[in-house]
Order: sequence, then C-alpha cells, then structure tokens
Amino acid sequence: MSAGHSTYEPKTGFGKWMDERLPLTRLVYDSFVAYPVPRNLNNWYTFGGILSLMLAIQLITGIVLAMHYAATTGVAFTSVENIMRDVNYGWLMRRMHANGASFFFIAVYIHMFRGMYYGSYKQPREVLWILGVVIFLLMMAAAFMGYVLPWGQMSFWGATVITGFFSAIPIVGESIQQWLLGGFAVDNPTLNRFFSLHYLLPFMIAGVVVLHVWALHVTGQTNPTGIEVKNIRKETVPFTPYATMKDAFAMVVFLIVFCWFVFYLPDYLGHPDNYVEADPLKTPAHIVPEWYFLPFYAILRAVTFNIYLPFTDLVLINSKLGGVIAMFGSIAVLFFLPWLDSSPVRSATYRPLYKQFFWIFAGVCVMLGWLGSRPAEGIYTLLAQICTAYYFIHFLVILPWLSRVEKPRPMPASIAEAVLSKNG
Amino acid sequence: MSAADTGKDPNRRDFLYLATGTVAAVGAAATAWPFVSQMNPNAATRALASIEVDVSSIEPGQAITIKWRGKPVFIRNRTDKEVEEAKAVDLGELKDPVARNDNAPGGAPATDENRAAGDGRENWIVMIGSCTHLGCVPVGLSGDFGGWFCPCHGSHYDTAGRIRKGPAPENLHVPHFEFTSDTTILIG
Amino acid sequence: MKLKSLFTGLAAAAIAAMVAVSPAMSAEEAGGTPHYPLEHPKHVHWSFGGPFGHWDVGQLQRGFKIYREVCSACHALSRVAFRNLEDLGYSEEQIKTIAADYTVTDGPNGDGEMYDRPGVPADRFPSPFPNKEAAASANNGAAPPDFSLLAKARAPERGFPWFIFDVFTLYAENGPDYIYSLLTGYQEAPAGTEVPEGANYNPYFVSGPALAMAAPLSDGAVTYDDGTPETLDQYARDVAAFMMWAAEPSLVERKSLGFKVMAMLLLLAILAYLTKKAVWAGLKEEQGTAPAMALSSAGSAVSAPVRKAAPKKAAAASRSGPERLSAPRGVADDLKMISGVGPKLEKTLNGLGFWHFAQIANWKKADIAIVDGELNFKGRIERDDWVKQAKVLAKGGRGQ
Repeated sequence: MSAGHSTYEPKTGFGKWMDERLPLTRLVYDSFVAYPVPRNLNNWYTFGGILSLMLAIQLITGIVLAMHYAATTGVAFTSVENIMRDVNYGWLMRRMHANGASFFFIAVYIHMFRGMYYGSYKQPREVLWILGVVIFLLMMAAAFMGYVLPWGQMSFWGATVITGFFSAIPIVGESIQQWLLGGFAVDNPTLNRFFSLHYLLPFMIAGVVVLHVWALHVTGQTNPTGIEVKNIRKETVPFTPYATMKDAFAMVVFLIVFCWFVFYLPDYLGHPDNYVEADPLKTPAHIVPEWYFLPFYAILRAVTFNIYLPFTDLVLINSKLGGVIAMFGSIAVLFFLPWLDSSPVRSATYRPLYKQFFWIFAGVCVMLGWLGSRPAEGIYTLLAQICTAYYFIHFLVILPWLSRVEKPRPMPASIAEAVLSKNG
Repeated sequence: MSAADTGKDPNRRDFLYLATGTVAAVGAAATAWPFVSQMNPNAATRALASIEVDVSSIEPGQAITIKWRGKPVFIRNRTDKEVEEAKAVDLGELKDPVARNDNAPGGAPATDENRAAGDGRENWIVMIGSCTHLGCVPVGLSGDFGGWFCPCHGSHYDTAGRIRKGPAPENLHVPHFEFTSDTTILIG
Repeated sequence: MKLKSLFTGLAAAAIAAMVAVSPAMSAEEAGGTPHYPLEHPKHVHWSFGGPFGHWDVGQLQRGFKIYREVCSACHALSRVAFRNLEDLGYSEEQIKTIAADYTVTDGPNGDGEMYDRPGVPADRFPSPFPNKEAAASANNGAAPPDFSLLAKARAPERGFPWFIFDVFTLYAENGPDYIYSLLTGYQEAPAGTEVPEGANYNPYFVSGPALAMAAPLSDGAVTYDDGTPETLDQYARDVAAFMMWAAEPSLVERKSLGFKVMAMLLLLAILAYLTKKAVWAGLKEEQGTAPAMALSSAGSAVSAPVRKAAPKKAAAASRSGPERLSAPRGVADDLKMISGVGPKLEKTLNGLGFWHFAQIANWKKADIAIVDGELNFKGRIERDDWVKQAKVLAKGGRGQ
C-alpha cells in the first residue's frame, strides 16, 4: 500500500519463502511499520486510528448481539431485553454497541472537521476525501438501520419518518417507499431487511476503509502546516513506533471517555421512549433522531415552504421534497468540497480568513444540531432556516470566494522550517 | 525525560515497555472474557436446568413425556408385570450391561434396580427419550420387548429402557433426578 | 483586524439573539402548547446513584411489597422473573414460596387445554391482564404501563445547561426521581387549568397536566415490618427504587465493573503516555544520526545502546578501504547537503574521517559496504545514492 520502494527484508527462511509467494508481512510492514508519517502531526490526527478501533468494537459487539437478537416484530424488543437481563454480559455488549455508535460519530465528526481545518481534501487527496464521505454515508445508513432493530417507539417512528423521505420523490416516491418497507408501513419485512443490511453495511464500511487507507498511503498524510513532505528523512518518522504509540495513547484516552458513558451514563445519549415497545397506533410526543443526525434533521425541517415556478402559483418543489433535497444536498456538497475550495494553501493556520469562517461554520453545525432537538415551531424554524442557508452558503459561496480573495500568511518553505521556527 | 536519561538507562525504558505491554495484555485478556462468556447458556436457560415435575396423576401403566434441557424425558409408572419382566432378564442377554444411570455409580450393572427410581419406587422409571443410536425419539409400549421402539432404525428397548435389539449401542440414559416428595420429581 | 472585530461583533450578536430567544420561547410556550412535565422532578438521594452506587436491599424489599400489595393489581412486571428476586436478598426457598403464590398459565396439556399452575422461580411475573386491550378496557381506555422498564422509559429531558453538568456529576436518576415526584405530586389543579373528566392533576406527569391514575399511595397504606416510617414519601422512594432495579437489574454490576475498567484504563493511559514520551525522546536523541531506517527496528529499547556503540567500534576498526582524513583539508564541506545526512550524522562522518564531498564521491562498492557497516545502515547509503549526490556536490552543484 505504501508509495515508493519497500524496505522490508524477511529475516527468517520461512519469511523469505512466504514473501516470494504472498508478501503479506511486507504489506503490513510497509503500511504500518516503515510507512513514513510527518513528524509534526498533532493529536487531532489520531482520530483515524481511533475510528478503526471503534469500527472493530462495533463489529465485534454487533456480531455478538446478532447471536442473541431476533429480528421479528413480535419478539425483537423482548430479545433485546433478554440480552440486557439474561445473556451473560449481554448488558455490556448492548451498552457498548449502542454507545459505540455515538462515539463512532463523535470520532468521525472530529476527523472530518480536522480534515476541513487543515485542507486535507485538497489536491492530490480528493479521492481520499471522497472515500471518507462514502464511509460517512454508509455509517449513517448503518446507524439508522441499527437504531430500528431494538423495536422501541423511537425505532419505529424514526424508521417511519426517514423512509417517508422517499415518498417525497415525485411520481415514483410512493412505490419506492413501499419497495423499501416491503409493505405499506414499517413492519416485520422492514425489520427483517434492516437487520440483514445492518449486518452487511459494516463489512462494506470496512472495505471502503481499506481503500481509504490505501489512498492515504499513496499520497501520504497531510500535516498541520499543509506543506508536503520534502525531505522524508528530516520531516517524517516511521509509523512504528512513533505514530503507533501516539495513536495507542489517544485510543486509551478515547476509551476512557467511551467507558465513562458505557458504565456510568449508558442511557445519556439514548432516548427514554425507546424503552417502550413499538406501537404503530401511537406516536411519541416528539420524534427525535439520535444526536448525530440532529443537524441533518434540522436542515430537513427547515424547508417549510413550497417553491413555486417563478411568476406562477405552480408548485415546483413542495416543502417535503424541498426538505429532503436540502438534507441530501447537505451531504452531497461534501463530495464537491475539493473543487469548491480551490485555494492552493491547505492549512487554516496560514489562511486567516478561512480560519474564522471555519469556526463560524463549526458553530453553525452545532447550532443546527441543537435546533434539530427542538420542536419545529416559531423561532426555532426561523433559526434553522438561517443556519441551513449559511451551511450551503459556506460551501457554495464563501469557499469559492475566499479562494480568490484571501491573502494567505507567509508560509515556511518546509515542514522542517515550520517546526524549527516554532521551537526556536 | 532528557535524551541522556533514556540513553543511559535502557533498563528503565525496558521496564516501561514491558509494563505497558503487560497491562495492555492483561486488559485485553480480561476484555475477552465477556465475549467468550456470552455464548454460555444464559440465565433463563440455566434457571430451567433443573425442573420439578408433578407425577401424582400418572397411574400405573401410564407415562408422560416432558421437556427437560431441550430433550424429551420419559417418566413411566410401570405396572407390576412390566417390573417383573424387567427383573427376570438375565444380564448376559443384554447388549449393554451398564446401567447408564446418573444416580448410580459409573460402571453399575444394568439390573432393573439400577435403572428404576430406587427402593419402594421400583415402578418409576425416568429416562431421556433420545435413542442412543442417532437421537430419534423412541415410541412407548411397542417393540419386541414391550418397552420402547425407535422407528428410525429399529432399535428395541425393554420395559427398563435397556437396548435389546437393533443398532443402538447403549441403554436409554437415566438423568440425575430425585423424588422431593411422594408426588414430585426434581430432574437435573 | 477590521474583519476580526466584525466577526467578534457577529458572534456577540448571535449569542445575544440566543439569550433573547430563550425567554421569548418559554413565554410563547406558556401561552401556546405548554411543555410537559410542568415541573421538573424533585431530586432524591438514591443508594444506587453515582459511580459506586449499590442497591439498598431493605428498600428494594419494601418497594417489592408495595408493588405486590398495591401496584400489581393493574401494572405488569412481565420482564422480571422470580429468580431475579435473588438480588433483593431473598433465599432460594423464599423465592420458591413467593413464586408459588402466583398462578401461572401453562400448557397446552395433553388434552390441548391451557392450565393454571403455581409459579416457579424460572417464571416471569404474570400480568394482571391477559393483554393490552383487556388492560385498557378495564381502565377507562388507558392501559397501565408495564413496570419492567418504566424507570428508564420515563425520564424527562434535563434541558440546557443541566445535561452538560450531568456528564460530570453522573446524574442518571431522572427516571426514579420522576416516579417519586409523580407519586408525591398529586395536588389540586390551580385555577384556570382544565382537567379532563376522570383525570387527576399532577404537574410532574410527563405528557400532560393530568393522568388517568389516581394517587395510588397514601400514608399508612402498606405495613412495613422493619420499622421504616409508613409515609407516602417513604413509599414513593421505595417503590421508585424497586422499579429502577426492575428496569435494570445489572445496574450495580455495571457500575462496579466500570470502576475496575476505569482503573485499568487509567493505569494503561499513564503507561502508554510514558512509553510514547520515551519513544519520542528516543527520536530526539537520534535525530540526525540514523533515523528512519534504524528506528524501524526500534520499539525494543535494547537497540539504542547497540547503535550508539557502533561508531566507536568502527573508529577502532581497520583503516583500510575508503580514504580518510584526520582533519579537513582547509574548510570542510557541508555534508548535510547530501540528502539523508543530518547534523549529527555529519559529525559521525567527520569522526570517521570524512570531511569532503570528493571523498564520498570516490567511494567504491566495497567502501560503501564498510561505511554502511560502521554506521549500521543496512544499505541506506546506496539507496539514497550518496556517491552520486556527492559527485554533483563536489562539482559545485546543488544536492537534494
């Protein structure tokens, strides 16, 4: 996976024999031992490693839970309760898996904002970034379907609302929705297929992660200066032990926070209504998605108006479809980020204006998350509309505009110089 | 920690690596346990590992089949004639001379006393209803010996559940059980 | 600078707007759709709260008594098994007796009929109604909820900023707090509040101003045999604690395992931090001598002293091979210009008698092997092609 020549030398006779047939050790050695990483990476760069840890935790606990779970509407809720009450350490598996999803998203959001701050999506890392957005999309799908499985009230009504998006599509929407649900409403066929897909998606995620890491190792990591490595010897360190130890320490710290929630606040990130078994005849007072979907949920609900064909009263896009388009658009726009921001300077460190807009954008995202948890009425809707507008303006107007007008701060010639000037 | 320190004191650094590795390994091993343990029978299953059966309504000549640990268990209140027949069998005629009774010592001979429920309760016989050949469920009151007959491959058991004819290698197994009162059997 | 102040102004305006919005919102809510519950739950001290929480067995037994004598007439506890009562400090025999008090429907029997039998420890609590519809019809259309998960299913939102503090204070008892508050919160409806026919006003109720259930407990309703005061307040505490246990029997096990996990992780964090420091300190020490290559075998500390010894050994070794000088001819060349050579390595090279590009440019294959061995370099000289670089540099060109 590593760019450039391999420095692996098999030490044993068997090692040599194997290396000529299946150079697996060489691959691991080149990718995770000798692979050079910039030596000025800060701690925000450890979240890639943390994410692979979280993926592993989700996979393992998920496989365990699937051994005890039953994806049938009559018994799904009970089977989850039996996991919590009767299966040996079942409560631990379930708590880890449910909170693990949240912490997976915490890590992925930090990872994404880090990428945005340091311009990690820029040439030549566009594919790396796009693969990351694909992983994010798959994660969202997996998380959504996973949340349906316990078959609580929020599971059921969340599934109803989300699959309802598809009915917004003109003409074919209704058919697509029925095709997805396997019925006219969320029911046993829906639960069954969601379980099947929820089991499949993580393996797809793992596959794209391999591509993501491959792409990373082709281009090499960015670093806080955004300057490419010029002198491998002076400016990089081998992955092992330097990055390995740094990542390992960061993982342990992250695990401490994770376990804090698993053991002491296991229901903090969940919703009490999901401890009530799904009832298709009774909607909870407020249907709220999991916290990590809240910003997108706010964008969905922000479109409360129909869009008319100009100068007529012909509805071009009704508010429902508008909301769905806005929500999917908010993710789709990420795919184009490498071309929307064409500034040659990567790191926000040397982009005084971008740095400020970055923080405003981050604030707007947090604000959208908060608004997503509020009822969709009055001032909240107005604020959500303003924030949604800003979200798109950031990508579609501010970034292209900044690329033209911004005057970057003077940049050091190399990473080595940047680091020296910092130390000196 | 200055460069000189670490350079001069490799022992300390060694110790640090060793300690970190050890703690990580112990942690990983401890973490592995719940993942192994979760596959063991759960609390609900364990709660049914031993069950009480009310046998007060079983008249002589009647039998019931109950489910215990996922398998059928035959509880038969034998008639005196059946007991006589079973007692009369010469041990030399038996295909499997061992009692196969969890309540009797390991190699006990397959006498009717060693198969039945003990002194004063010789009429009772409790057996796992799973043919020792390939696990089919034998049918009661049939076969050449008036006991049980397995329709799958034709194994004949006598009134004490001993294999007499057919491919089955062993007598029907007697699970661990006891009478907790005159009318209640605790199995398991 | 101007822009900066503009942003500061914008941020301030945004915060001011948010602050202004909050009271405006609550005012609006008061007029329009009010937010339920009308009152936040009262806080009660629970033995099972906090990181070292444990069950108060006596309290759970009292709560169970209240459930049996009062609540169980309407409320099911269908996910709890009699065997679970072990957690409440009952012996196996006591549990058998308790279970036998209940009638469990089993079957079908040999005649195809369902039959009733006394409960056994493996059974779960039988429900007072055969199904939800029966429960609803017997209770004016409002089915009394199952108790098994209620302490987790009824947890009013904490709101800003409390939900942030909760992360650190580990407050997670809003379920039992809610139950306690509801049971003790029945009161006369204030003037102007409309209470539907047959409903009972309670400002703590989670989804409206009033609920179908009338106040179920009052002072003296249940007899305690352990001398605990027989008051509504005490009853509410006890039954709420029992319901928390019923909703999450593994709560105490979870917290005690959590402490062990936390201790282990903290220890590992400290060790991992020190190891990381030591590893990176090793980097500083070797900066410029033999980084990338040599370090690929690092991770074992032993390699460090071995490497350090190598130049000394080399200095003592035979001086045949490449041309060496005890001092530079005039001014020494800047060997750092060779890609792959840093300040420290330059010194080492000087120590070995190499001062000029011309010297390196003249190295033959055998010479390279010798120097490579002296530096313990495993082929790096050849890979970085020092000789070619030095040739260019010797002619006055630029390296790298």
